[in-house]
Amino acid sequence: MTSTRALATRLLAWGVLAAAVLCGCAAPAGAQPGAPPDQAAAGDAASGHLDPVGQLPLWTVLPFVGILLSIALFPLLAPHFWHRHFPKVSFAWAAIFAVPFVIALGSAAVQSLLHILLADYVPFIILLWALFTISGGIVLEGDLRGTPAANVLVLSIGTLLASWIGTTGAAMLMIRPLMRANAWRQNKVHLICFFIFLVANIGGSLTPLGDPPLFLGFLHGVPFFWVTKGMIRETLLAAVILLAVFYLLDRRCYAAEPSKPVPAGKGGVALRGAHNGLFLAGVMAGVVFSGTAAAKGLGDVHVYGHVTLHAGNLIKDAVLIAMGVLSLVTTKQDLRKANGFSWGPIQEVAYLFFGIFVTIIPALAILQAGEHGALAGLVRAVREPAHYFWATGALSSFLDNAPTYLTFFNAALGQIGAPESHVAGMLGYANALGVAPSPEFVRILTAISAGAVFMGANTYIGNAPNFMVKSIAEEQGILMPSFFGYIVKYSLIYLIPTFVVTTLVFFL
Amino acid sequence: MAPDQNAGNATPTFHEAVFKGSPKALRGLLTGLALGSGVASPYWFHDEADIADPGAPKRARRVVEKLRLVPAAEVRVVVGGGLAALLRRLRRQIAASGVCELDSLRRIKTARAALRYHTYAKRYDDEVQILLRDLPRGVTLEAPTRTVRTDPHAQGVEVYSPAHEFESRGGGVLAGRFDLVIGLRDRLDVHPLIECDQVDIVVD
Repeated sequence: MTSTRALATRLLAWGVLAAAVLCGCAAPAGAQPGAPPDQAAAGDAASGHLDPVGQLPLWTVLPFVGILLSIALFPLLAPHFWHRHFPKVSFAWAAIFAVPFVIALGSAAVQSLLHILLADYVPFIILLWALFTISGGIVLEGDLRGTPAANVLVLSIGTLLASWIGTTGAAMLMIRPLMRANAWRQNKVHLICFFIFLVANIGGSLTPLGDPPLFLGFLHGVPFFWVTKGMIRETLLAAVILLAVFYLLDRRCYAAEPSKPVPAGKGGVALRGAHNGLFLAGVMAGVVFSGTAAAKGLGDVHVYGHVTLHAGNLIKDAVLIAMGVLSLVTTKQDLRKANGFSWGPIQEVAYLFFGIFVTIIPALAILQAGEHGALAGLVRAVREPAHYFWATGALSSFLDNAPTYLTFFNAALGQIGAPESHVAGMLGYANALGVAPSPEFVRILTAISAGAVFMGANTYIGNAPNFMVKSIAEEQGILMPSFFGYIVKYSLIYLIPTFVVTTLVFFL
Repeated sequence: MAPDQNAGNATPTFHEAVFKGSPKALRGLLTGLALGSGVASPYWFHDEADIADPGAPKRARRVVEKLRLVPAAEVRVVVGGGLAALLRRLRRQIAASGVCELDSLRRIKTARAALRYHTYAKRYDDEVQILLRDLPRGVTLEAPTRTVRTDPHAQGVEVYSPAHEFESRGGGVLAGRFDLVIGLRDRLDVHPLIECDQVDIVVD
């Protein structure tokens, strides 16, 4: 206890020290304090107006790297320390970046911080909270048999649901029925691993509600249903391959079971708390509405300096909160208890993503600056869709996939030399700016989206629900593979060949 | 069928027999010997029963043999006392038959199998402790280790900090009579939270 406290104190002390050092040297050459944060777009850079945030030196992304590595390594190396102190670690990394940033760039930095927190972080947390609250009130009960066909059915339903209630919600809803149905089996580790592949990751690729990276894309101008249209082929291919392989593997394991239970009861399933489906529809309606022209025509609410918020987005957030509250009020507590529902997961997301969103500012700005920024080399090296798929995927495997998506999304904008306001037009949607569709951007964004969502399944740390599923399975008596065991026995054997096929078919 | 020489013995004996020849032919020979003599004596082929070969070079060679890159140099079998006595008596006839050749036959002093367990819930830990406590007579758990960690703060479901409220891990080495150790090892190994190693035999 004393040692963990001492470690946390030391960590904070190092944070303050680093902040002090950064204060002395964070001001970049040619900084123009007061410039609006939205002008970080490459278009501005190309026109000669260099945004001071976009001109930050590369080492300012170190706190971002630090928090991502903390999320990746602490749960593996010091799980109990991390469990108790992760909010402090997150805030420490945020402070290490934000304090010198504000001192060095003044108003421009304040505007950047306000912009990312109000326009990205808060709506992101509200969406996750709403989906988590509503899906936590739905319980799937029944007497499934745990046969290969029934398991394929459960995985398929979970894969489909994930795009509409989020990967975390779908995982929470489906993992216990799957484990109950197979409780009698001796060999069930593969069930959990394929559940992580399909329900906790790949299934979330068809709407911005499915997986945090895609919602960040939505917040940054990607139309809601572009994801569905743009990702359907890639998702179908990956899901069908994995389901087919799973069926063959599970059939072999099922045949090897020494004894099979005698069916009892009718073997049906029941959905309790189904009225929460209405609230999920309300969430989707709210999100879709905020992307419509009508919502955008409602104007902006001025916050500070150049920071404004779309009125349509504020209405969306209000609708989402209302849906979550309605779910809480109208759902019986025993349903949430049956799901093992608690506020822990959403609190974790809120704490950690605060640090991620604050520290990601320089990375996004530098990447948006494209070939004018400090990461010009990376922007020049990653150019083709296959590069984006594997680069986004490789990083998403070991770092959280949401910030990774945003990083490469901005790298793509930097490569093409377009600002965020051109995204919908480049994806072929009608737009007031008259931006022409860009097939190159469509292919790149598809590759980034697929890489971020699919390859979050490669490791336990690639996407948040992976660890949750592993942890629930372990507490139910399933000895899950170690971190590297999961990679060697499952990811390398089943996922990577699937992604190679996906690349050959779609991204070359 | 006449009873195995071990039957009724206070201390049944087991022997490691090393043959040269085809494993299939050897299986036929052992089955024929048991049937023809009426001795109901069990036997375990090393590679099927997950019994360790002696020494790293032999284990490495066994891996290569399993890949069918080289033919099997020797076949190792553990046989009961009854069958061992028959083999010893018929050694010359077996060699003369050309089916296979008995290279050595040595009595097994003891057998050992290491095991490990890791649980994340009290009820599964209790289950494992009962299994390890109720060992058959003739088998002991040597060098037992056990650590238990509880963290009341780690209750409930988490996504980014999945610490467990309860965690136990431990292990030891099952040691004793060959048939009891291998039977127990096989029974424990199917438990999802217990991992057992190959059985090591110590011969005279």
